Amino acid sequence: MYRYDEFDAAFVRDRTKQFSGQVERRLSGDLTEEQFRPLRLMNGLYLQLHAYMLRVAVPYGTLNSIQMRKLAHIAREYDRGYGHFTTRQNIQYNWPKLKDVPKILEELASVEMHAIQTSGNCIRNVTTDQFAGAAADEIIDPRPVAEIIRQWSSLHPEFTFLPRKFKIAITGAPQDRAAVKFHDIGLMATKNDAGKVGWRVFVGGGLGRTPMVAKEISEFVADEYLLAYLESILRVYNMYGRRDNKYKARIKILVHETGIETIREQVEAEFAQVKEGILKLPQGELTRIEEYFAAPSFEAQEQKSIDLALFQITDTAYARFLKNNLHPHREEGYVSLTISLKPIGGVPGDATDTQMEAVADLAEKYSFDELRVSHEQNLVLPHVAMKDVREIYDVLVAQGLQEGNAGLISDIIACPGLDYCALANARSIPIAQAISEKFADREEEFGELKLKISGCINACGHHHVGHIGILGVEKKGTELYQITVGGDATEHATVGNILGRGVTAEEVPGALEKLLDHYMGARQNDNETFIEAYRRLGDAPFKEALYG
Amino acid sequence: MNVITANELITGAVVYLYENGEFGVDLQQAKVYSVDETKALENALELAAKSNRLVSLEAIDVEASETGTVWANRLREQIRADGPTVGGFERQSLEGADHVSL
Repeated sequence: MYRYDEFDAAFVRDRTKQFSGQVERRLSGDLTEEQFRPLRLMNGLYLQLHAYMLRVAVPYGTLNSIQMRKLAHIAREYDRGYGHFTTRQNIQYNWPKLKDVPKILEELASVEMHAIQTSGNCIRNVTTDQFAGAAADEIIDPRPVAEIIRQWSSLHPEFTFLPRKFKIAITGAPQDRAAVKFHDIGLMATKNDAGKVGWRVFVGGGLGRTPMVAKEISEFVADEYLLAYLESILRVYNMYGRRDNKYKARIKILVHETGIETIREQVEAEFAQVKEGILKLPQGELTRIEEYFAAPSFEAQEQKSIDLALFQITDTAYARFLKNNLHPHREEGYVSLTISLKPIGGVPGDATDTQMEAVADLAEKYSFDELRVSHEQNLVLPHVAMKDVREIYDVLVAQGLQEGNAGLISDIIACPGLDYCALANARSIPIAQAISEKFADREEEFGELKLKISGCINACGHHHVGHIGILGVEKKGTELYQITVGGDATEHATVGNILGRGVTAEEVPGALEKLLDHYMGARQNDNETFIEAYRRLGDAPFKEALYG
Repeated sequence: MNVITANELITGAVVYLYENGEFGVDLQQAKVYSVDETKALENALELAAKSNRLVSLEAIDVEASETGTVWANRLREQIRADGPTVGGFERQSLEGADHVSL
């Protein structure tokens, strides 16, 4: 895992001190809210419906146990004993007080964490595959490059005031678990004809009110040129991106209006100017960063499999966990283990201070002190020996974290919605709770199903890319929910289609039941997933099932 | 009808302008401005805007029953007044005193 160097430490320390002074001046009245607002947002501090909300960065979703314990400590000492893990692999606290925020930032800095680049029109926290460095299908661990991008983008003087926020996601695997095609820039590892590993570069993806799948701008950029290429894209965006209308200011609109061919020409022209300059990455520097992410010292394991069939008879809950929450690891005898933050009827993404501490202990004892946050709002122990899975499961049971539902219908992505968010039009959390309770006994039957809920068109809950997506809107003072079908955040990136008129909150579980009953009746065999059946059948039968 | 609401600076707590000119967390104690009191509402907003302790100041639509119970028209404001509908969390409270003096 990356450790701060002197520059990082000084930067975070100085920023904490600077913001502490700004808070002091705000509290004394020397700064107005108008003056203070951009300053607090640059430090991840929002004002929501009921209180401030502090968003803490978890760069590329990687944590160690000390950091997780600190997050638990902050939840207990300064908040209400819990935190909310987000779709950008960050954590949010919903109840901090302004006067406490400098102390919270000091606590974070003490474990090499901060809240920078979690808000504002800057390059945001880079996200990646939660199984990075562990997945069996991975071409390369993307985290060293993600860290280099973090270093390049933090405090980049040219990109501090972009037209809008800018999000970069990176995956080292052909199976995209980081939704890279729905980011401003998406990077996907690939090999060229010579067998050299580099990056396919996608640009102009995004969700929000104008969902778009990113377009490929380059089929191969080598590591040494990647920063120069990214800088070239950002320069073109900074020059030509619209600043007159915030709803048209993201790079996706620029790419859409200008055309990918023209954008590519502009980027290539810029790239030709800078590619051999100071941003050309020396192999030595890449190697230095890679050493921070060196694979742990895996030991040869005697146990190379788990007898799922046995547990399907003797312990069905554990069998469900084994079937759904373990992911193939690159090292024989190991797995990556997903800790679901989606208990049936719970709040998606929430973890209490006690749960966070228990997970930190598990990471320390069983996963080489590594933890990940997934964009699907779960936690991951990336390197677990198969022989240890049962012991871990038993601890999870004691903590109420044992739900074996990763990838199933109750593994719902949901934004905080109108219960917390100042931008929301409708609630998300109660909808998620009602759905997970409704289908708790049937979710195995449905198999893989990505359900995503947003409380407004900003789409923080990624509803556009849910196999089933739900968007909350407000009409004449009533919450209504539009249902979309067919979205996909993976390498097969697709934006879902709205099926028809919205339904009320109470009608949502029943509406989904109609869709799912139709799927169950129409699927070709037990292995045809919902999204596969939808692609084969199209909208019409699902519309018919829903509206008659 | 309207009441004036804001978030308090230190805690972010939702507060309302009371009859006595202070801001507190209880919607039921809020001063309700009728449709005939537009000027008074504007004046109160103007005065409150000078306070350093208030953020996101605005007038919101409310209704009141014959017995004086006040409720916000929009769900957003009902949730601000009552707290999140999930999780069983109390609303944010003010530091020390139960009101903000202008």
